[in-house]
Amino acid sequence: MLFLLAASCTSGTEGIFASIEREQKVVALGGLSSTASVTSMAELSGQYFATGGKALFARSTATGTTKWTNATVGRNTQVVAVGTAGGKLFAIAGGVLYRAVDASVAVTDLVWNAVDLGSGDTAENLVPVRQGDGVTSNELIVVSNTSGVHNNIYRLEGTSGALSAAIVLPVVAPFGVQSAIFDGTNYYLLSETSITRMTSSLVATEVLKSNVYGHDFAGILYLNGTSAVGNHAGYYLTTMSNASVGGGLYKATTMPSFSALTTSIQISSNPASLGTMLYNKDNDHVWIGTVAANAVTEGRGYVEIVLSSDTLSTVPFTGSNNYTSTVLPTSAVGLLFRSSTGLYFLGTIANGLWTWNSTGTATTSTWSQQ
Amino acid sequence: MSHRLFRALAPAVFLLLATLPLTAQATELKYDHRVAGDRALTIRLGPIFPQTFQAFDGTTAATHLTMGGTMSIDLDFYLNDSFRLGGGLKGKATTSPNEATLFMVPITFRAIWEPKINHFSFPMGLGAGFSFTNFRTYTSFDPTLIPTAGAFWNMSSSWSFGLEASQWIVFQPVYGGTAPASDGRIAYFADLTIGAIYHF
Repeated sequence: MLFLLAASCTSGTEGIFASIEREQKVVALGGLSSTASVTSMAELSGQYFATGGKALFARSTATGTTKWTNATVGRNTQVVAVGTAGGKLFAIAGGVLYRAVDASVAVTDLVWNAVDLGSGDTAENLVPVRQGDGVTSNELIVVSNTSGVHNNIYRLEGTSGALSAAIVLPVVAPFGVQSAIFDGTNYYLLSETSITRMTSSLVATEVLKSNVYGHDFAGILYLNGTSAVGNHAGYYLTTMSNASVGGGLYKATTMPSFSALTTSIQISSNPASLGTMLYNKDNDHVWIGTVAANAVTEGRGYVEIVLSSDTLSTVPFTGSNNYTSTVLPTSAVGLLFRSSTGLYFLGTIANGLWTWNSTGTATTSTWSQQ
Repeated sequence: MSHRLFRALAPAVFLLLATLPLTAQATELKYDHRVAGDRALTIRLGPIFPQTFQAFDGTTAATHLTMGGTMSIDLDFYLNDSFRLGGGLKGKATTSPNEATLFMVPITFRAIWEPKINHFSFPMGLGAGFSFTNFRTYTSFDPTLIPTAGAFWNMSSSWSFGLEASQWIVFQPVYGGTAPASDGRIAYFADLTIGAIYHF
């Protein structure tokens, strides 16, 4: 018998019987709903992946493909986040971080391995680390909580997707890290209450508190000035609104010395929070998703920073298009995503996923719901 | 007339009837293919039932596999009237919750003890060998034990038909590769087959 055991041979990154034991029937809901919330998106191996608390959705990146298929992750239908690091696909579901064995297969055939955070930490969110052009991210920050407290994060690094040891944050924020950038030297991790600098050796120090500006922080973006169309360099910071005063937009050339570009944004005479940001490297604008004051599902669409003048435009993408005739102007936009081929996506809260049907600098196209 | 005819034919009829058992006995003794030096070729077909996966720390878990199908062919050699040695090739397919198929092909060496009562044989024994296992893009080569027991009706000197039940025990330790050692499992399946044995 010992001989027999010694002679066993298994290929693959997990045991066959163990992988079957973990497998659960995929939940097929028929594609993306027009009322879905989409807050997380990734692209890998010829597929787009998206989620926002429901099953993981995926579709081919091939031009003309519109059909999304969905699947569970592990045994969970509650998939809260998806992202890529080191060329690997990660997702969080049921408080567990998962890594896909092979992201190139159909979403219903994905095999997931749980990645143990250790320390009793529960995985809660994946935050992409935006780099020099404000778009590219090949690293992820894993936001965890221990008994409801967000005191630890982890990094999934960009070469192999390896998980770091727990990184202890100097300040505990109620909702943890929301946004992250890497400027070539340091990481800057934004929570609603502070910005933390983290060295490449993963030592974290708080550098800025949000109470300096009177509003919670919402998003951060870094442009290194070399890959951008207009060669604009700098750090951009957005803040939340309160019931009467809109969020603000700030810029710094060295961290963390921000100065205001606007301190109280009003959209259609309503105060709005400025949230997540994405550099549109095709038309040299920065897009900013908005959320209405004191509302979770209602928003004000997205606005733009015109980088050539560092001014905020509340009439985004001013070319001839159907933006104002869609639900987008009243949608909360929690996700902005640019594909490797220059396709732009807006993820809304409860109004589905939208895409701009042209790539590059075209401004005379249409928005369509996925 | 009829009495005379009966008296004339009776000895012949009795003689003929008396020879029948002798003829049958002689045939059986002459042609029984279940003795030393004979061979038995068995084919089986039937359902297979996944039972459980057991980790090497003893914990068990549901397999999530559907009932599947199995078929097999064995060739054994009688060492005496009730003991045979041989080898077997089996195959089975079951499906996972997402309809991926788990294929297994065990190749085993077998030792079978086969007591007989009247026209029935009750083969029971053990097979030991390896299973080629395939699931999605994974393949594995796993040590396997298959104890078996059955009941067969010996219809003639050459043919038997019956039922057989086997317990598949497939060891899949994981070490040395990229998969974690904690993924090691022992898989248990049970099959129930109808079979035919050709003795020659």
